[in-house]
Amino acid sequence: MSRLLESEASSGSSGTDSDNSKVLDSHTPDNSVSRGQNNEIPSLALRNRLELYSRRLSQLGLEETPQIPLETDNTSLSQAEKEKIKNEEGPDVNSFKVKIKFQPIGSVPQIKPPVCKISATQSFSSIISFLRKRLRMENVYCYVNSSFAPTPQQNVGDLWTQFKVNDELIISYCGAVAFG
Amino acid sequence: MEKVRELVWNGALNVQFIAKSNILIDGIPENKGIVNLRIPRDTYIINYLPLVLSRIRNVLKINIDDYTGQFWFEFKDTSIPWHYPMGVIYDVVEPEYLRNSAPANDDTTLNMWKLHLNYGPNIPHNLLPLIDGINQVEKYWMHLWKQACFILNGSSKQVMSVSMKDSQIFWNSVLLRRLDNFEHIARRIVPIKPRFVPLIVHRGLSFGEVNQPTIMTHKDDGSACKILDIFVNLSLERKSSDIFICQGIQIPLDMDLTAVYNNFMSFDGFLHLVLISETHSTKES
Repeated sequence: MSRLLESEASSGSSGTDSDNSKVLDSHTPDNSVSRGQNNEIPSLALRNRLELYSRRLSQLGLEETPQIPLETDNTSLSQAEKEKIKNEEGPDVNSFKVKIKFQPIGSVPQIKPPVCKISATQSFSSIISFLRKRLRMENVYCYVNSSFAPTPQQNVGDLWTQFKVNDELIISYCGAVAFG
Repeated sequence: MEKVRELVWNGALNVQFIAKSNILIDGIPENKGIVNLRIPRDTYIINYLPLVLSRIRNVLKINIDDYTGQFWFEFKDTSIPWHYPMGVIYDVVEPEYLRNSAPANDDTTLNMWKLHLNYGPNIPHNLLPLIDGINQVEKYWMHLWKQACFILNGSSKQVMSVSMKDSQIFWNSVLLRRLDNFEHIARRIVPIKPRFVPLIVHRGLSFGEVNQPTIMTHKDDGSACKILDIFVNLSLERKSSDIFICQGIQIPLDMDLTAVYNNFMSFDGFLHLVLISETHSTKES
């Protein structure tokens, strides 16, 4: 899914780096190991750095290093979806992509980064399934411009062209019906 | 215009629903599972499912008061979506009737659209699952109106401000075929001079090919947009045999888009046009 919906925020900002460091620190076997101690344990520091680079690459939509398992979106994709992505990477690699801005409603968490890019030829159902997987929720209700729910078959490019705000299609999401 | 709206609203199709043999009780002849209805073009086919089921409930294997699977309709072994107006589906799958069929006023001919009723634990992948019955259809229809309103007015405020009572009257006008009630509320949503028209272009003989182009009612030079301009908007090469069908009628290509919308708007607030091209005709043959 990271190929379908690519992170808009690049890994260049220091804020993202620090966030990643925190995440990675929590993933290390021993959280109490300080930065100084990391220098004393080269293998652990090297692993941390590799994980950091791998995470950055996945945020950029590039393939991560296969030997480091990370919780990227690709892991949760079905074989059919992977095939679909693989097929799209062929001749359609330069297809037009549009920006989607996600806004949570109520107590639903904000997905990070909030702005993603998606191929204009995708249907709206791909956004719904992306949010379901990312939020790990059974049902996600999506609305465009806090107003209406599009049909799952509707083309994302058409929706973006008609309802974009500052070149972004604003999609609000919720775990229950928000706009009846 | 009101006369045309009335004709469009009252446009109907003769439909023969045939229950598939696998959902009939063993030993029941197939003709016992047939229901003939005259259904308005401007409605959803799924609205008539309860009526069809009630007519054949005694010969069905499935208990229609308590079932967990899904019913759907098929035409020539292809499942047909319920979320487009009935007339649009007919124009998409049977476009050749305009070219080949006998004149509509021929007393000796009756066009009958034959659809099969099927049932299964899971709905075919190209259909929207119906979980909440007719209530879900109503909500879906209202969201389409919100979307159309957004295109027409730049926000959905006009639909959002319709009271609960009026929104129920609005939906009932579709179910009970009350044009006066429908027009009364639709006129509050549709502006007199919209900048954009809610338009959906379907390709003949194919349900997957649907475009929702953004098209202005007037060009930059102030001239009115014509149906012909849709080709440019969709970056399509126009062939001499290409025709647009709306509500079962071939639309002249030099007709103003606003006039077409005002006369042929569907009950969901959108203008549904079916593009039939030479390639589609040959595909079927």
